[in-house]
Amino acid sequence: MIAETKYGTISANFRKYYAVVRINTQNSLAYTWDAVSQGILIAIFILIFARLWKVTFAAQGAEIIGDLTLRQTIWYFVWAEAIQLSKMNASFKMQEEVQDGSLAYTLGRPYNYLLYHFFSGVGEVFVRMASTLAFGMVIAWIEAGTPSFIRWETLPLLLMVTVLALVVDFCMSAMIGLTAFFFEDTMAFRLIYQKLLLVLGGVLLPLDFLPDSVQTVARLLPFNAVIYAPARLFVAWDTSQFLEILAVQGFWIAALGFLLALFFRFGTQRVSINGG
Amino acid sequence: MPIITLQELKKVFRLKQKAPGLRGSFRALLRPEYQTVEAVKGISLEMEQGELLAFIGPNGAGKSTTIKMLTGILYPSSGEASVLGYIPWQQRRELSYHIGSIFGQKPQLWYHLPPIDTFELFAHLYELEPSAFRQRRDFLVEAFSLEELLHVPVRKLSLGQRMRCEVAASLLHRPRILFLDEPTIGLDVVAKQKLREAIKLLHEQEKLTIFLTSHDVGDVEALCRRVIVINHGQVIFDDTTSALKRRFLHKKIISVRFGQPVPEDFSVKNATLLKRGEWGVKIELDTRVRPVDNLIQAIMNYAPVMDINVEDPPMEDVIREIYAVEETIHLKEPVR
Amino acid sequence: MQRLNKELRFIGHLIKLGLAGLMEYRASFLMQAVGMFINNGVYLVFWMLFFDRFKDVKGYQLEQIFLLFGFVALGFGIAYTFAGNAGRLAEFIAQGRLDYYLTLPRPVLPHVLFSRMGSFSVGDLTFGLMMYFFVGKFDLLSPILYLVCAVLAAVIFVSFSVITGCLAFYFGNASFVHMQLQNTMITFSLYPIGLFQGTIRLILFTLIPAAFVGAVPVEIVQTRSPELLLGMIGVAIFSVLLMTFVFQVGLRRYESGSALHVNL
Repeated sequence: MIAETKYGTISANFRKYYAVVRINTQNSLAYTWDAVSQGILIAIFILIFARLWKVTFAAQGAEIIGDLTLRQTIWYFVWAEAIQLSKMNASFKMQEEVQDGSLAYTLGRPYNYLLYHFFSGVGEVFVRMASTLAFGMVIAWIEAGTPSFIRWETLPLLLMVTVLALVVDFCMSAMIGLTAFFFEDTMAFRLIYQKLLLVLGGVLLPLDFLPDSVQTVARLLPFNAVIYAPARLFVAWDTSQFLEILAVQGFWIAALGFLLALFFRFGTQRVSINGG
Repeated sequence: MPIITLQELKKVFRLKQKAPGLRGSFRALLRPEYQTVEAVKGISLEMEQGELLAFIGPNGAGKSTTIKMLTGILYPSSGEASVLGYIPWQQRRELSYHIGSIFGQKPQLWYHLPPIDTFELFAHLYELEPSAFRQRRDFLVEAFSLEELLHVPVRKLSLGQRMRCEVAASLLHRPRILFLDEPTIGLDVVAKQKLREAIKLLHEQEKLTIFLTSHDVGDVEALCRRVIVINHGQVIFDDTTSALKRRFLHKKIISVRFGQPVPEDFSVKNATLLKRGEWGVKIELDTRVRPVDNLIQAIMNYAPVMDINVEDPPMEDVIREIYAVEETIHLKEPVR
Repeated sequence: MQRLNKELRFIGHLIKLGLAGLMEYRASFLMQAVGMFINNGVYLVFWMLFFDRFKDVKGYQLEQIFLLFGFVALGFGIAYTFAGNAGRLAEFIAQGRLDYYLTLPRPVLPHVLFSRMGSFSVGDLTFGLMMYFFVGKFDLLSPILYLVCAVLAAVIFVSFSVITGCLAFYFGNASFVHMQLQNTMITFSLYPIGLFQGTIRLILFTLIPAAFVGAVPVEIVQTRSPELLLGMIGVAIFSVLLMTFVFQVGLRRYESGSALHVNL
């Protein structure tokens, strides 16, 4: 295998990042407890949201609110919370690496710093996603019954949208981490981003339930491409919407990715000037 | 009338066993398997008022477990103990007014605050009269030379300075017994020496009873008249320090670096040459055969010396030797 | 009585020391407090948006939700600002860090609990106080009732934390379970109790007493029912007694971290 490797070829690059994914997957398997803890967390959330929306639907006397049935709403949270609880925490790691100077050190290694971080995060995400989905689905099944509306054959496409959602999140999260080049602590930015995801991204409730004005704003921002879009597709597949989401995600990845690259270049220049 | 007595004191820990990997974790969760470890296997001893006793043994011998039972931190699995007439684990609070304790690896000073703040907290803890506290504090500050350290946040002190403050703090309430668990661990030679001197001073001035654990033979030689050696939770030696020295601590390791190359035919009389390098040698010496000063004199006369170092054999060697003696005279009792 | 007085004075001294320690790190302390503020605030935004569209949830409207958040935040804030070590008890037990407290002539549990101030919970404390200005009534009795209920909630928070932390006496490293249970209690406490029926409701009133740190105080303030207040006081006293008992029993099994160091 080693003899075949040509530096810089696509397949060699692929193998390199695949190895990064695998070792991180194994690494997080060691943290059984972490996976279980995320599972319990999602179980509690699904339980509470299921109760909240059951009561709300009943009080309204409505079958459908904002195009979603009660069952769809409850299952929506399974996918939404699974992404929210599994997505990588790139910003914190990057902040630390910028601050303790280890970024300067990793820059010398033969890989792209940002790609390395993304793929090392993906490994962890796989494990957490599996466990959160399992726990979440069990509770949703008990609370809401069989999700007959889910089109399981679209799962590969859904996973694709979910991976793209992770990329969008990564771009924003990495940018927050890299603000450490300019600010002493990035916690404030991180907190604000997390909270925007909760409300405008669709973690706490599907955007369909928001008041119209807020909804319009939320749909224009990148946050809904991280949580709401994939979760909504999960419970209400729609091919034209799928294509639309792909386009939107593509746009945000291009725009945020470009900004991130600029940011990174600018920041690392500062590092080399200041000597790390 | 002994102030500390232990009778067949035992402590057993249960350790959970876990096979490696994910499956092992789940199995351990469902059907845990335990292994019992006897940390202390029935220790009996007595101690008189004003004694300065060293309780030594290698890591994991049961020293700390014993001291923790005597201070009331741990409940024993079986056996009896009495400290100043109290049963430590039942009358922990009454006892605590009369004893002081230092655990070398567990600091009691508040990390972000200067020592004086902890001292004042301790005054509240032990309900000391303000004037009595001040008098005592000033005395200890002098004895442990803490004037300069008193108002510096603890995190900025060196380990040796911190340790002196720790000892002073635990003497504020005029305890009758001081338990010292590995007080010199991690300290450099000078810091060790300073601490030992201060402890000795207190012992002599106040007839303070001191129970000291260590795995450093140097602490024992410098401080204590009586020494108990334990290993694997059992007492294997209980006698005076001089007896220990005479019988087991007669080996010294001497390392020398000369100012000129060592000739190939270098040899020493009445001692063993362990190693010969280009510029230096390592010699093992039995002090019963030849006194240390005699050998050092000979070395100094032999060639210019750049550096010389005299070491005690490590604790493990001493214990091996105690066992060896035990076997040759077929003693089941501790060596006396 | 004189004994109790002495102990209280001592706890007062501990708190003073804790404040001094906190002030050594003013900047990060402020940062954390602000962070917690944002954290709590966003849930209120969620509920405002929710009630913009829906009328009520089992008798809860925005006012009750604000009250609920106020109680949980203030109760939690009081609990962990003063008894800053409550959340770390399992860790203390597993790592043998009770040794220090065990050799000193003071009741171990209060001494441990009050030996540190939680900087992050100061944010919750102020948040909880501020909530009162949004929904509180400004007569003589109401603020007092609000504070009394919050203090009782704090007592229950601390007791629950201690009792679950004592699991470490039996299972060694229980800090994970300890944290998980505390999070569970807080999460449940922040939603209208009417959502939960049957077994879950029973659990929230017993094993995981989330109802007593949020829903019950809201009820007390709204109905001004003396019976309910007495009941709440009873629960607080009971939980303190239970906590003391569990801790004392557990202490017999304390291993002082020694088992970890036994060489095999």
